[in-house]
Amino acid sequence: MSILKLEPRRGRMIIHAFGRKYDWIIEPRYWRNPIIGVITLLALPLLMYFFATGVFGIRPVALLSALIFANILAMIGTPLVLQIIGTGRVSFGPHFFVAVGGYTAALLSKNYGFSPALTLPASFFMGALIGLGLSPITIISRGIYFVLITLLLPFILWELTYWRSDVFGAETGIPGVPLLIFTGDVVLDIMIYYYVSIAMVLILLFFTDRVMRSRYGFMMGVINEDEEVALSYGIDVAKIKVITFTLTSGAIAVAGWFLAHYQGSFTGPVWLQPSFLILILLTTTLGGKGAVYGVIASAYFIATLREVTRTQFGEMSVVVLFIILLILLYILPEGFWGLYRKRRYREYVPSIRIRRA
Amino acid sequence: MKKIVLLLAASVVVSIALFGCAQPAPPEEKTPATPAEAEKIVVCALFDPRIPVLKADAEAIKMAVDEINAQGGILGKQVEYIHEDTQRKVDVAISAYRSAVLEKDCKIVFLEGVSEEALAIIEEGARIFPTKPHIVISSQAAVGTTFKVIEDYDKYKFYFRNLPPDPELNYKVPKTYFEFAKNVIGAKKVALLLEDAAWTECARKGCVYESKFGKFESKPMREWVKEEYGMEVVYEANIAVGEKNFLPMLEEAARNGAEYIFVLSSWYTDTITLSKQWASSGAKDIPISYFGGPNQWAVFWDLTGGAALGTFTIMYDTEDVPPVTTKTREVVKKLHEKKLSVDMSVHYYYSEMYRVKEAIERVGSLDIDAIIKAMEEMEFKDHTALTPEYNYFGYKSALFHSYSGGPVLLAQFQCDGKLVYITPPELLEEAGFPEEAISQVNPDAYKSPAELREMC
Repeated sequence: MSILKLEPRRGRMIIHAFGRKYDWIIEPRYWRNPIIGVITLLALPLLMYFFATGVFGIRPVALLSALIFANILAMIGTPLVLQIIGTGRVSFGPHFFVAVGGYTAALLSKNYGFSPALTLPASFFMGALIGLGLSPITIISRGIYFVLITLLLPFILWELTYWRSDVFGAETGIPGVPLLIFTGDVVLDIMIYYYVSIAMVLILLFFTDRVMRSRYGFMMGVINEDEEVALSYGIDVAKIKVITFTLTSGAIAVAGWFLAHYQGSFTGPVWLQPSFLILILLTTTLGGKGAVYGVIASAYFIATLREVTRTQFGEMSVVVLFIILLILLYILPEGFWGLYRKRRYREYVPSIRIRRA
Repeated sequence: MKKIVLLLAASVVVSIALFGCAQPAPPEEKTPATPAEAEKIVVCALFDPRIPVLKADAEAIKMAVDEINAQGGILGKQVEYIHEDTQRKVDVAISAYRSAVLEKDCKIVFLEGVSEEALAIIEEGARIFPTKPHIVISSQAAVGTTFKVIEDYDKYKFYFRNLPPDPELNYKVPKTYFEFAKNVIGAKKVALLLEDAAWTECARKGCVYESKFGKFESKPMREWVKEEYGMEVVYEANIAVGEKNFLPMLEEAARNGAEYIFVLSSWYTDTITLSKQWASSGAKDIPISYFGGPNQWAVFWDLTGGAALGTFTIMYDTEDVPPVTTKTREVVKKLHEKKLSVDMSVHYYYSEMYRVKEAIERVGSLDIDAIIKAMEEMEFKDHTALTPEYNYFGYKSALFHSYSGGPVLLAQFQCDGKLVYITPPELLEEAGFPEEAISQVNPDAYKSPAELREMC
């Protein structure tokens, strides 16, 4: 018996490996839109670089920086959506895990000389470990209690950074974190940072997509729909919640790792602020309920809009930004993904219905 | 119904867009540059205009630029002022900074005094500087930036701090207060309320810094206050950032018999609420003084509804401020005309624009390395709030590329919010203040809070 066996079927490939069976969709129509999406994301910085000055008068470097921020939002939003689906609860503490990842990377780099390649898994594991420790809250609490617990976590860490300013540096943070990229050409560096961050987003998106298409994703969807029903189907709700919360927390912490090595320092209080949480939640909500692909669209939309309003509206920029987002929340109840699905209702993507996300 | 909602939403978006478009065009929106424009010296101010103190800082720089242009510019070149909104967020500040230097060719970047932004900008600047030489000036407090310049000069030499670094800021500057408390108030027991932030770490815990310019050591405030002024610290508390309930601290200070309360505050401490609570607490007869924050504005009196009666603070915001130079009062007057208040940092940013002018003129070109050297070496006499000794950037110590801490102008809020300057004149004399300024301070004009309440 061979370890790996491929079994072609119509529109898909069944992969038998290590005694397990994996389903791989190969029909072109399923790949067309993701390929277009990826090409767009890869071409975007180049397009922006050459044409941005003509649009709203924004300069390319500023816009590229905004797109990197969009990728950071997407790095957080993508696993957060998966977490919302798998636990049936909306966490108000994703930025807590961003800070955990950032501090892990910064402290290990500064105090023990860890390279970014080593701090990456360390940040993920620290996020996952703390996520594991906190995961029982997804079982024992719901509604306002879950919201409050997750909302308190960043506040506790925020206070901790001031209380132990000798370790965390309070508002001055931890400087001297090695940079991920340094070529000597700043514009090239910014471009590379964009591609590194988009690669991370695409990797996260790929894993999320695989999970949502799997049997595990189906069970997550059932949990999100109704926990009692899931239990009656024999789904181990507690186990799935714990695994989901743990792994997605680790994935969110990776965004903190990126921030630390992108800025060369990590300042927790900057990222633990409620204003950052609002941007994260808007990214996931405007993307569309439970829509991972929509998260990318909304992250790009929000980050670009923020830069456009900043340069065009002066002191009113923040107000204008949030008024526009508020209007969009009202007129797009299904988010950006809803717009897409309205025109293309056929199931090209996982069809988990998310009612409580 | 749905159509109506969509129509309404669309009209709101369009109105907002039109409203926005009606604003003055951003300065960088230019027609193709003429040869004269190409020779402009570009100065960028990275400040959040929503915060009044930061708006005043940016306006002060603009005012200096306008004055310089009216006098013929620098080396015959006009100075172009560009404002970039940071929204007081690190990622936005970095993006704005990159764009300012790389795309708008800013040679001089003024950055708001926010330590978290400054520490991120200095790293970003180290990357940009080799290809785009420029200078960054920021009034942030944390000492980390200074040590970067000291330890890796070639990499970070572009960075200057128009404020003393935290050990000096927490030691030399507050000494004016304790000198006053000891000799004028006659206090022997003191309560310390210290803002719990990174910039006050030396005051709270003490600190030791090793650098190639030698060791810099600072004892906790409670220790040096006792050793140098013989005052016993009967109560000490840390004020959490954003704290609103100061009554327990004030009552404890009173219960422990404090005869003077010193508050090491910045903009993170709500001294307005603190004053209101002090005025109605058991500590209301204990003289209280503040460091940074809105208390440095004359309008603090109105903000507190008169509860500031008897409090004293650093003050440079009156049109009769004891002048350090002939321009000191002029700056205050001009900014008051724009309905802006003037704290210390406003004078600092305004003055730095003139230092830059002087440095460029000394060098005779826009050779940034040479300008940096000139800024390190020059004795700058036109600072509107500090004498040359305290604004010198070239000390080979922990003050390298920073201001030094020294005596400051203290003023007390008396009846109807009238500000009376009370710094002991001998301190100003030592610090080299001009005779005109020294003659206008009078510590004997100080009155205790209880006395003032009876009088007013």
